[in-house]
Amino acid sequence: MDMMDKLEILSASAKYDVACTSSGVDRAGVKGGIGSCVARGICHSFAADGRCIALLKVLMTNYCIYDCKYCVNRRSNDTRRTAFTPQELAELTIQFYRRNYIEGLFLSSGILKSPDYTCEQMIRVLELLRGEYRFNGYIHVKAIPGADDALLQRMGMLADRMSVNIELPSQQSLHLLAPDKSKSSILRPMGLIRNRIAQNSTDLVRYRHAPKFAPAGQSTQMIIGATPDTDYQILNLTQALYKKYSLKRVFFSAYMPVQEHRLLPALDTKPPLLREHRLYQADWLLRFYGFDASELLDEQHQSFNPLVDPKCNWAINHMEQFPVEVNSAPYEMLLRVPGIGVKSAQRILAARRSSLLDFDGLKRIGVVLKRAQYFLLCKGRMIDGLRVTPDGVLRALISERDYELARLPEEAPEQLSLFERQPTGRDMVQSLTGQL
Amino acid sequence: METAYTYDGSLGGLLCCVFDSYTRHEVPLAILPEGEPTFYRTWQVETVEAHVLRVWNSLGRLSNEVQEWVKRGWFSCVQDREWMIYQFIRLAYQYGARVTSMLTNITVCRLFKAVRMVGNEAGQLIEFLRFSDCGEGLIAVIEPKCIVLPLMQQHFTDRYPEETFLIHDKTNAMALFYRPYQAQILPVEHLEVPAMEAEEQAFRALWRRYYEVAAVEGRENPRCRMGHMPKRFWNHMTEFSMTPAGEPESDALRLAGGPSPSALPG
Ligand code: SF4
Repeated sequence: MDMMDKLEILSASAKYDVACTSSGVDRAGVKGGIGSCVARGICHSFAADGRCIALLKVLMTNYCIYDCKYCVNRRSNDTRRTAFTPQELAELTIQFYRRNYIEGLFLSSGILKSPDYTCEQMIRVLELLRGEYRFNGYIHVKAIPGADDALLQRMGMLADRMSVNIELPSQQSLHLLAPDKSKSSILRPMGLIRNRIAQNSTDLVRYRHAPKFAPAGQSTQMIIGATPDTDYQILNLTQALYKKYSLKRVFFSAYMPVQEHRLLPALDTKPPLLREHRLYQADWLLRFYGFDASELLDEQHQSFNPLVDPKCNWAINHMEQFPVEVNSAPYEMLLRVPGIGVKSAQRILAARRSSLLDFDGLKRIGVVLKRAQYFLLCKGRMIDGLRVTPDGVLRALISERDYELARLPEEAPEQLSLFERQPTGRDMVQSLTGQL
Repeated sequence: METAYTYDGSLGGLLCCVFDSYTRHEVPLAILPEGEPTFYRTWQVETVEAHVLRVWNSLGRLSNEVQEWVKRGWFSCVQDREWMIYQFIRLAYQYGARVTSMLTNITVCRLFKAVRMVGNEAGQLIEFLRFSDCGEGLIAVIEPKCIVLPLMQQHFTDRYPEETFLIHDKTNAMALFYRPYQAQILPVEHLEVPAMEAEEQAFRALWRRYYEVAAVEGRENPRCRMGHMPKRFWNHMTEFSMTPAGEPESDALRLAGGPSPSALPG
């Protein structure tokens, strides 16, 4: 099989892994080598679906001895199979890298022969890159559940980031759809990686040149919408993973139907994109905005509001805390204002050090007022001429994109039916105007 | 008597306008590149190395940020950048280092946006620039709005220390040349990109295939793609174009060219 076919097959089956970031580690280039890393991560291209392409994301092989029902590589699926040799893949990575196509490699694999054998093949690629080519760019490698601890440790010494996919949000779902995997076979390597990273950081304090173990940390991914797990369960799991396993990122992947099966959504089901989008927004709130999962969803509200993002939804339900004074509100509170992000909040802090801010000043420093204006005071006053009509407020809070997503004809009914006891547009408007 | 200043079109020359305006105790009516027709009486500012350094170092003493803003404001090539920078420097002398946080001031805010634009464009090109291996080294062609090579130099020389490469900025007629371990930015009027060899063609084809396959079907989102990766970069990207030089260049993208960067202080 020629390289073109191999690349096509092994990248096509890897692309459902959504993590593609190259972030988390800063590393300068070295004489005699090739490559460097930038902590914020670099995207080199954007695919037709709008997703960033930062890494060459491929499988070592798409042969697999397992039979996970949601996966195109499952044993029982009749599909073309192939494998890279370690030399081929290392060379391809370098050639793409020096042309500035990519930041590095994201290597994952089906299970060929055994978890240990697969792991060894992957390690060989990493050794070639780091050793022979003196490659200093980014490497993300997926740990193979069930592989020997010693092998996982070697992987971690060569990679920047490791991940173990949690796959499905609950043990039951896993049991039904991925019978060869178990919660413990996934959590075990995750725990191992966490411990090694922690141990490594104390080593680094003691010996400055201790080799680094997965310096960009570990991440995981789960599939959304293949099983009946609710947003509430998923968000709680996400928060627990951040806390317990010190993960850098949790990724969500809207389920794309790959086969007809009584345990899976029908083949013509659209991937729940809006739900995935809301989960990412909420995840962002957990990581950068100081929110706790329990503030966003609870037993009574197990699903996200389809019309407004989780932050707006929170604000609407906590109108007693608004409006806030731009010139004195603490940073944490500014961050909770709909329409104000981390950058805007920081700019406000910087600008108000030199003078009192009014609404024109806010605009000038680049704060978008479309949503924020309903929640802000400048020098004790709301913006001049703001007409607070119920319709206007609601329209201001619904972003165009969300509106389109929520309206997608195929998706809307199924999505909406997931939301029990969701406040209607009218309820929201009342709660808004009631406060203003 | 009201006077407009004319200068040689370099950042150094502009700093000398600042110098002259302070020694002559006057605020010029306008600052124009030499040769531009005007009704005003003009004062031709001479670019004197010592004056350049004096102004440049005085900015550095205020803060690195002030200095950096002036340099990047210059790189931004926005309309009327001379006047914007001149006014900013006057404010900087008046308020000191905190001038860069006075974002509600119109001049400061304009410069802030120009500075951000330059940084963003350099960042985007670090992402979207594509090299082709022409046998003797790597070549990339870019058509930025701003002068970005000085801001990209460090990134690429650090990343590819053992490569020989060249980045040609067609808009500003300059190029970054690198061979281990030396880098230089020089004015370049015209550059012939050699024909690609079979091996280069093969990698380009592989990358294009990879790019096509990477999109999840059923999730096309042209608006999102364009938002992240504006169309004006596509000409020179391997994903979309067969040759590294891209399609015939469009004149619409051409903006006022800057001076050669060797005229820059610091
Ligand atoms: S082990 Fe991985 S590759 Fe194999 S079937 Fe399961 S999910 Fe797919």
